[in-house]
Amino acid sequence: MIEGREISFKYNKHYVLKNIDVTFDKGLHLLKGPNGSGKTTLCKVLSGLLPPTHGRVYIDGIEIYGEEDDEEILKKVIYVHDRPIVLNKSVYKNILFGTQIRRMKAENIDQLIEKFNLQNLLDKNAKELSTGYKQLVSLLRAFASKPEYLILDEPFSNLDEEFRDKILESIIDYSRKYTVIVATHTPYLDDIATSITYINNGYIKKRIKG
Amino acid sequence: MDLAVIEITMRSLFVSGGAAVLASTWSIPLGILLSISNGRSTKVFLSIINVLIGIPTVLLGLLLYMILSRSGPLGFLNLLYTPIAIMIGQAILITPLVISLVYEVASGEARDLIEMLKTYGADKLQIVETIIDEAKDRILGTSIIGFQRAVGELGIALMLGGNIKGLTRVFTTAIALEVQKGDFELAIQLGIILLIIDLLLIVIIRLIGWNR
Repeated sequence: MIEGREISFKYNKHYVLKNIDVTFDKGLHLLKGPNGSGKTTLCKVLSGLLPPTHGRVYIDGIEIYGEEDDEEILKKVIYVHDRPIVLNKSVYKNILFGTQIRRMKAENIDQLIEKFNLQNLLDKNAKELSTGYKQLVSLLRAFASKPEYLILDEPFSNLDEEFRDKILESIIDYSRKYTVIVATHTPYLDDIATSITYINNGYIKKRIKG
Repeated sequence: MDLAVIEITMRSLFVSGGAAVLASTWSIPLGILLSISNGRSTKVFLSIINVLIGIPTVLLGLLLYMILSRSGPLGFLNLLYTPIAIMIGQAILITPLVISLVYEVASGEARDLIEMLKTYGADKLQIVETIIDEAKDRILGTSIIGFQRAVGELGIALMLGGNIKGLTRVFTTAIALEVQKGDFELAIQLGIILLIIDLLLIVIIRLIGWNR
């Protein structure tokens, strides 16, 4: 379970998040709101990438950003940026990268490659791909690393229809076993989400439990 | 071409190339580590580094001379008036420059990349390795800028090397001597070689960048 308690985040004297309380357990959770509402900041705070100005974040009951070494607990969470980030390596090595960093066995890579029909692109340098493919590679790298908590920031923004549908399917599958938080302003997952949290101007405006 | 010119060229490349390699070994990881830490001490350290970039070479040369001279704390190493002394001095001279340039490269590369690496649980060594791998052409460029600074400096080469013919004479000390002697032809010849080396290095960097 990821919990945020009374989270505020100040950037340049301006509060981007204001006293936010959230709890996300197994399932699919959507963070919705207009651009600049604070979704990305909240995602990064919950991922352990951005210490909040005030408040606390707990992962499985353990406080992160605390005094204790939280590297192990943070390995449970992966945050995927809205801007695709690929390395100057082949597509295959990019997808494998997370498992190598985490020194874990890459189990489902072949299935992912087959599902997204990437066999012919595996040796291609990922930097040379279109933005949509780069986004796909970023997402597959996260799925291949099998985190307990997967936080996706606008995962559909650069994808064409075919890939979008397959990614939707993968997200839904993944959320059956793990916790997936998706920051998005698209409606694709609204009907099947476990919860939808609306953020505006740094505040939670509404929370709908599925 | 005069044998002396070839000898000076080879020695200059060896000494300043060695200085650039030496400085890069500690400055590249340090510059990247600075780019991934955001503390107040990092900012203070960077300010000091930026001040040290402009340190006069004669001042650094004097300091190192006192350390390496026979009565100095490292006098027992007998390094003074050797090419190694110049190499060490130039490495120290260019260290702040290379750290600062690598910091700029890594910071620009990299906020999102560093976040991506952190979210996958990369440790500091893995982050440094990946940034070097991702930005190797630009990081190599910082070493070359360091080399250019080293090969073009006079104060350290003169004070630590002594401009000994056949032993420690390098481009800058040779040019200075030839001008004093009135032999402008040789000085200009050496200057042109220095310029050609710089241009070749820039071309090599571009090629590495294009082929990645």
